[in-house]
Amino acid sequence: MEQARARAELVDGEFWVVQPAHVRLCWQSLMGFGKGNLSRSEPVYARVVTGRMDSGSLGKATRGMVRAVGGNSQARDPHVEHLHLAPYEAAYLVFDERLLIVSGLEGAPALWEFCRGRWPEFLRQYAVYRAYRRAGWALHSGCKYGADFVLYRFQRARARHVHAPYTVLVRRHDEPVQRRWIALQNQLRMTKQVAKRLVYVSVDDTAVRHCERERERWLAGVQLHEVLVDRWTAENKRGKNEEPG
Amino acid sequence: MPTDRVRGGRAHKDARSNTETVPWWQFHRGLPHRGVKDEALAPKVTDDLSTGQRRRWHRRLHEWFTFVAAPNTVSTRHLSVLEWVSHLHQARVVKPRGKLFQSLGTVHGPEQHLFPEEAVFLVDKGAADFYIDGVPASMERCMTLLLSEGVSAEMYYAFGHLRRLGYHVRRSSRAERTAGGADSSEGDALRVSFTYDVWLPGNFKRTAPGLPYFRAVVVPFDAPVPTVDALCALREAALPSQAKIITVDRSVVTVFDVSRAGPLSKPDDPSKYWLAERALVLQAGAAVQANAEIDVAEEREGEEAMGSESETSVSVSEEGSASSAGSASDSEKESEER
Repeated sequence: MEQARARAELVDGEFWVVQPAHVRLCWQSLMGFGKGNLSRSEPVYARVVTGRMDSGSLGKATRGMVRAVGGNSQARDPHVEHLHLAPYEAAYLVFDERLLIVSGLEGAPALWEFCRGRWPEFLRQYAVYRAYRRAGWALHSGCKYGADFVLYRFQRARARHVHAPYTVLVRRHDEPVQRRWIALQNQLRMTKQVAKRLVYVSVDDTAVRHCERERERWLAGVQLHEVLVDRWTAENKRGKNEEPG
Repeated sequence: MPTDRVRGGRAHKDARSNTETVPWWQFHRGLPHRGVKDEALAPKVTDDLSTGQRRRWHRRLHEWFTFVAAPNTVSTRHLSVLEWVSHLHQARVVKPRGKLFQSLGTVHGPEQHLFPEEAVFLVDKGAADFYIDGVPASMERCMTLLLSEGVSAEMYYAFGHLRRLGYHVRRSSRAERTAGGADSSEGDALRVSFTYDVWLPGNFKRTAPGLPYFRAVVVPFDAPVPTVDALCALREAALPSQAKIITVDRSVVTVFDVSRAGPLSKPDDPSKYWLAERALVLQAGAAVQANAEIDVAEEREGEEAMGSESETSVSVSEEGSASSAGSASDSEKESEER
């Protein structure tokens, strides 16, 4: 029995999922993939315009757009929104979830080669993205938080993501976590500001660099190391006899 | 660092002979703790002050100047005496005073020896007379000694910072340890050398110190930042204690903690979430469909492409969700407890 698959188009180096049903397929779970071009994460523009969703929980930009459309929702096509997928998200959907077909790059090796050639960071980001997804985390872009990814954990009680406790920065295995200590301090202060914790992940593929073309072999040989860096102030601990651990 | 302060017992005698000088420990108010100090000591607009305010201001100013001018003295009863033993590169304790010595240095039979930074810290604190070549050393002499003994200024500042906050700091027992026995062939890249072991404030026994609270590496603030792998090696080498990196920039001490495990070490079965979520979303979707009018025709376009498989997969996932939802909530409770 063949699984239903969404179809993505390659538009100017970006993966777009245009058909509403396909978008829903990518977002059938709250640990969804990609970002609607008119929404903050899940594409909700159509639902808001047709009055099936309260616009109170939306971002300013989307609310403004909805207001601009006004009451005459019949006049406009609500399905103007499409889903943007990052290369690593598209690759994960194609290779691991088998939920997606990219038009023009139907074969798996073709997509792998295309992504590898086009984005130099692709391999590392895909390896990290896949590892965290498999560990039960929902990754989304961390651009707003000065990181590569933010990690969400689905909270059943609230039936939605509320807070991402971690930001992730991807590094090569021979690359220092930051150039200078002051940069690390900057990063930590900023991460603290948005109530997250900072995680550095290094991707070590020295053992399998010769077989980058073969996805399975490459992934089997890649090693990920993660370290959580935090600031520590001695003053806070004074007088408290905490057990080490 | 008060390098030009009056030292030891002689100063104390001076203080007693000069009856007008109030010893510093008799000040209850001391320096202003918080707030705008300039404003408190020198109000910008003095014309508007009432007589009472003016009097209080002058009194405060007088108190403050007296406080600053008071010599920082220590009673000879509480002053310990140290002596530098150059061939050992350590200080010998001649007269120990106070509880401080319980967590300092090493004991060789009847003698107690201090590392240079420990001896200098005692001098800096005003708790010891440190004789180098028979002469009580000034703070400058002490710092020179540190440099000549290979104790960098960073090491000393980190030591003093933690020590002043009450932590027990000792030279690390893992000063030359390689991270992981198997990795030793990889050479210097993963070679981990801790500088200090640190215990929490409180009781400390030199003979049975227990596990340190953390092990620390001291680096200058302009030193290169390690790679992720090096940080991981550091964390593993410090186990079961925590690992921290202390950076020092001109006596500003910043501590970075690398001891905590990341989110990858808390894995969870994603399929569990997947199914539970899917069921929830589908339920929500069904409710919405029942309540609101939906433009079915538009949706059908897409669903034709998806075929009828989606419906069968829905029923499967709903069956699975009943059990998985329970286990998911259990795991969440666990994580919250943690």
